[in-house]
Amino acid sequence: MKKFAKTHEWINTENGEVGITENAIEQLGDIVFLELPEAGKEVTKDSPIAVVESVKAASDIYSPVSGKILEKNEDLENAPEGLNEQPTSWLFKIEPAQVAELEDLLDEEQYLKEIEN
Amino acid sequence: MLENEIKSSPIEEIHSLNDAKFVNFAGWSMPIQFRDGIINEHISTRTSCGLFDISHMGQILIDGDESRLLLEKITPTDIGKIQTGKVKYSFLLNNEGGIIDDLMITNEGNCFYLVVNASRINEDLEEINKASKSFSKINIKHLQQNGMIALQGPKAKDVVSNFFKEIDDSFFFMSFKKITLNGDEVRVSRVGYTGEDGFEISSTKKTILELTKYFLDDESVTLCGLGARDTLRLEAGLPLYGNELHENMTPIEADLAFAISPSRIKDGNFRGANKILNEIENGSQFVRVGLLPEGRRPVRKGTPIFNNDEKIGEISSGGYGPTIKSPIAMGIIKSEFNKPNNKLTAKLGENSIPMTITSLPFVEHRYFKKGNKQ
Repeated sequence: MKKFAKTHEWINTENGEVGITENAIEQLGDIVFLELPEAGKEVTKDSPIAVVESVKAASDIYSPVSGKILEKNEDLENAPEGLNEQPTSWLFKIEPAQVAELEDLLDEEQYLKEIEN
Repeated sequence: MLENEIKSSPIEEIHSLNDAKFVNFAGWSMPIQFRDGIINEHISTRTSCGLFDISHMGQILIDGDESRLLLEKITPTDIGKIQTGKVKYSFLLNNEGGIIDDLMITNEGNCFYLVVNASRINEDLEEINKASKSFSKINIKHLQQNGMIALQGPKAKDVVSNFFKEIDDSFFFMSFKKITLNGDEVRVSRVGYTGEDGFEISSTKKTILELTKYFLDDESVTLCGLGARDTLRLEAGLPLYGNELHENMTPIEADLAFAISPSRIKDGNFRGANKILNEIENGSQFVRVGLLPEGRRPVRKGTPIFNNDEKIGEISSGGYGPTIKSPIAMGIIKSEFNKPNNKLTAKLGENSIPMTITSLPFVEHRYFKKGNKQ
C-alpha cells in the first residue's frame, strides 16, 4: 500500500520504495536533474534528502519517514527524464525506523483531498 | 481597467484548448507551457517553428515633429539613422546611464513604434511622458488593445510568407512592414527573442486570433509558452529585464555596447554619457558573462558566484539548455575575473558547482541577414 506526505512524496509500505507523486511530477514539468541519497545514510522524517530540478524550478524531496537508505535508483539519477516517462518510478528505498511514522502518513484519498485545496 | 486586474491575452481561448499551464507574469495571465512540455516546445522552435503569444509586451506609438528629438533624449541611439521600415534595439536610460528598459524602436515613416517589456510599461510611459514635456507636438499612444504573436525558427519564414505574400527574401532581419488585412493594420517585424530567424506580428485582438488559428493549422508550427521563450533566449545569450538588466546597470556592464550608436558616442550627448564613455574607455566594474556549469545540475538566478573564497558576483539567469543538453547560465561578475575559460564556483548551500566563463551565445544566432545563404 502507498502512503503519502503533504510534501508530495509516497512510500510503499511493503517494500520501502519512495517516490514523488504523479501530481508533483506534472507540476514540475520536464525533469533534468535528480540527486538521490546514498545507501547507508541515516535520515530523519521531513528532512530534505534529495533534489529534483525541472526546466522550470528546483525542489527538495523530503524523507516521508525516519530510517536508513537501502538503495537509490541510479538508472533514474543518470537519466532523470525517465521520471516524466514513468512517473510512478521509485527514487530510493528506505528501511523505516518506526512503524508508527508510516501510520501517520496520508492515504491516497486524503492526499488527493489535500492537493485539491 | 483596474490597476490590479489580471490581464488576459486575446488568444487565451487557444491556450486553454491546448492544456496551457498559466502563470501570472507582470500582471498578465500567460501560458508557461502546453501539454507536451517546455523541452518539446524549445526543440520544435530550433528545428521547425514555434508560435509564442507575446501580447503582454508593451506597444507604444510616438508621433509628432519632435519625436526623433524626444527619443534621442532618452536613448543612446542615433534615431535619425533608423531608416523607414527598420527596427533598432535600444535602451531607455536614466540620467546615470542605468537601464530603465530595453526596447525595440521601429521607424514607421510617419511615427515611431516602440515594443517594451510588460514588466516596465508603467515606468516607460512615465519616463517618456516626462521627457516629452520639453518638446512640442508629441503624441504618445499606448496600444493597449493590440495582441501580438511571435513565429520563430527555421520554418518561420515559410509559414509567415505563405500567408503574407509581402514577406519575401528582401525582408531581412530587423526589417518592418505594415500590412492591411480586413481593414486592420498588421505590423510585421523580422525580429525575435530566440536567436532564430523569425517574426513578431501585432494587430487587433480579432486579427491576431485569426492569424494564430491560421498559423497553428500548419503542421510545422508548435504553440509555445513563456517557459520555452526563456530557455531559448538564455541559449541565445539574450538579456532579460529584471535579471541581467536593471536601473543600476549600464549597457556596458550588460555587455551591450553594440547597441549604442557610434555617432552618439562621438558626440557624448546622451543620458549617463560621462559614466558610459568612461566605462567604454576603462572598462566597467561589473560585467555580464556566460557561464557553463559542470555536471548536470542547473544553477538558478541569485546563486552567489565565487573566485576561491571571494564572492565576485551572482547568477542573473540560469537553467537547462535543451539544445545543448546541459546547464547554462549568465552572471554579473566583477570585470577583473572576466577572462575566457576562467574557472569560478557557484555556491548552492553546501554544494560548490564549478563553472567556466564562456562566450555568448550558447547556440549560434541564425538571423536572416543580407548575404546569408537561404
